[in-house]
Amino acid sequence: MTLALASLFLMMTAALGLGTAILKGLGLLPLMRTGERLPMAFAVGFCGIGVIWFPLFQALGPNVPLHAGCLVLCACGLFGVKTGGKGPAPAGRGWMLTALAIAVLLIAFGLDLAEAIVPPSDADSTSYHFVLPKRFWEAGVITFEPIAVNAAIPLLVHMTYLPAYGLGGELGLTLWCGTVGWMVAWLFYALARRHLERGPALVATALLATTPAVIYGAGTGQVEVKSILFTLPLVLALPGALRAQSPRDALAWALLAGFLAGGFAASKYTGLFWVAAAGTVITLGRPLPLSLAAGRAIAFGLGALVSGATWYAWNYVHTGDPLFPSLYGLLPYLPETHWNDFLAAGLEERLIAPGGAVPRTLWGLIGYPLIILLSSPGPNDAGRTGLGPVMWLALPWLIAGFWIFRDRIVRHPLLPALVAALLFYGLWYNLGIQQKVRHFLALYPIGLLVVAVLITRLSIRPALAATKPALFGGLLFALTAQLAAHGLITLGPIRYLFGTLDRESYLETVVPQFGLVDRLNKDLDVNDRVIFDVRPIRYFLERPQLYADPDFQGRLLLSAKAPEDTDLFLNQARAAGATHVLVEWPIIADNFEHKESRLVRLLLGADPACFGPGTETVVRDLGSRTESLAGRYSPFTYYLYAFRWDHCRPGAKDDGNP
Amino acid sequence: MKKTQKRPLLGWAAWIWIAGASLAFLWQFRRHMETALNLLGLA
Repeated sequence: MTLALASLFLMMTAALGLGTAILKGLGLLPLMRTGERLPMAFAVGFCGIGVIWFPLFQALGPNVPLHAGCLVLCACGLFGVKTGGKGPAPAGRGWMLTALAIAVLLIAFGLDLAEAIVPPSDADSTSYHFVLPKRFWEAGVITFEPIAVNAAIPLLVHMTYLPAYGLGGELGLTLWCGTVGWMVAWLFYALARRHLERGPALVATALLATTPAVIYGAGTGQVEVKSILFTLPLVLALPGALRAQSPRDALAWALLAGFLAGGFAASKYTGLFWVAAAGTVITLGRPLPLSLAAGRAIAFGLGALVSGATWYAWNYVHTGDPLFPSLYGLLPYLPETHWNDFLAAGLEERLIAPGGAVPRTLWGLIGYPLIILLSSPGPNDAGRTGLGPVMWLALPWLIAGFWIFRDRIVRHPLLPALVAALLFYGLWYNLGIQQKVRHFLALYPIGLLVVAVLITRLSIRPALAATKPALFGGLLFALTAQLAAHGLITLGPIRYLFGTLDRESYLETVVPQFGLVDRLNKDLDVNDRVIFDVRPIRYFLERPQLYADPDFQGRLLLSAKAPEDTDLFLNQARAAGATHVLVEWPIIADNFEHKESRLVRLLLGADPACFGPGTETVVRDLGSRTESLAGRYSPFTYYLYAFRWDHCRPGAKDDGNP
Repeated sequence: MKKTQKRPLLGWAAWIWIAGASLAFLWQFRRHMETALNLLGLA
């Protein structure tokens, strides 16, 4: 616990210090209000740590004192921060909104804290977000794994997990993730205070902090909530660049905007849309004089290159495709990538073709926010990771507000960021691989801020004063519904903290197939290497593993599109150093009823002498980490076989059981 | 007379919208509410 807290303290001060130093170097610190400086510095420093720690780790390896020293060095940027502010924020009046928001925020903070101090259970985190930094730290080097979606992706945010995990262990990592989620809330509040009084600003922050997609991902290793640190600061940076009083300030803001937008691109491929959208606004938002527009574009591009280029270059060097595997067929691939037509077709069918519930048409573009809210569940995940009821409830006020304030909106300082967010939305909707709601989360706070400002202005107009009680009622409903969902998703961690379950028993109730971990860790040796495709247990497995996803990797060709070739598979498995294989059906000659498992079919086609006797393990297959607590799970049996390569003859298939 | 007092209908319309929109939202997420009731032992 002490190490984890020390690691969190170091990470926090390092991000704040590095960000402060960068902002000071750009000369932007004096242009911000007092309350904005530290949260803005954190966003910039978070991005900076993500950029720096890739080369730093490759140079230093897993050396704890050296990493701690580098963090202390970053933290030194905090020295000499002046507290003098620029212009006061709007003063607060009523206490009711403030008290309500603080109460909600305190409850939400308590729930998030519970999630941050229990073992991780989010499926994507235990499948790869936390697996990668753990493996890198253990290996002492960042290596490239040609696994699409789950490994060969932009990893800037994961680079901040490296020192957090290395210095503070698992608790250090989960505490860091939870804290970054709250830094997002702090940043939102600080930027909202520029436009809103304390009460409405706190209420908007409470709405953001309890948004379903935020509570789903903030305390986990998922990058969507953390990416808000790369989008929200542009609420300041874009108007700063477009309306600066001096060309120097304009270029400094543009450089900062580019640096942060590049950070988003280096954390998720969809971040490239943000670079395009924000870059367009910063270049064309005020086209004259031309030289300054070009200067802003160049500064933005330079900033984006500094933070964003690394992972695209890394992908290119290892595969031949900077957007691996998006440009397959257009660029020549390196042979060691093991990517082929079968995998490309399989990935298309699994991820791209299903798209979302909404067709990519003009009406779909306009109706998507409403459709996902009222037609869940669907392939866009709105049923559990949506954006909550705020926009839906506020719809009449939004329409009225945009109409009433139409003349003022075009001059409002929030407009550039709103236009960039809408451009991002258009690009993401039409060109993005999937229409998952949470993939738009990074831009949601900009929309929420605009809505909060609009409704606050509207509610003080005498003509609409009669609607104020209903508006307050809607706010209470939204906060209650979101807080209830927050409580529901945190029920597991709360039961763990205040109950009698030990770590293993708890994880068995919230991580699908967790029962395999203990068995595999016991049955296998550190020199063994097991082939399996059970995603959620990857983080917990302490043995070398070959993750055999059928569509994401070709090192072990299991694509449903490829012809079945047992000898090829066995050769690949042997070449990859596999010693064991884990399957969900027994490899016996008469179990053809399980023909949906390609891996089992391939193994059935092999010489039975290739395998030792199987051992079986019964585990819980959970649908969701929350629903499982209500007892919704089914037993599932897995079988572990050892390869006996010495006895294995290619093409020799006898009748009989292994 | 204040302008607000001239528009009681607007106030009622706002309440009707909020009530209807809230119910529509809850209806969409009834499955989660079932889960919540199960977890709390109320189902």
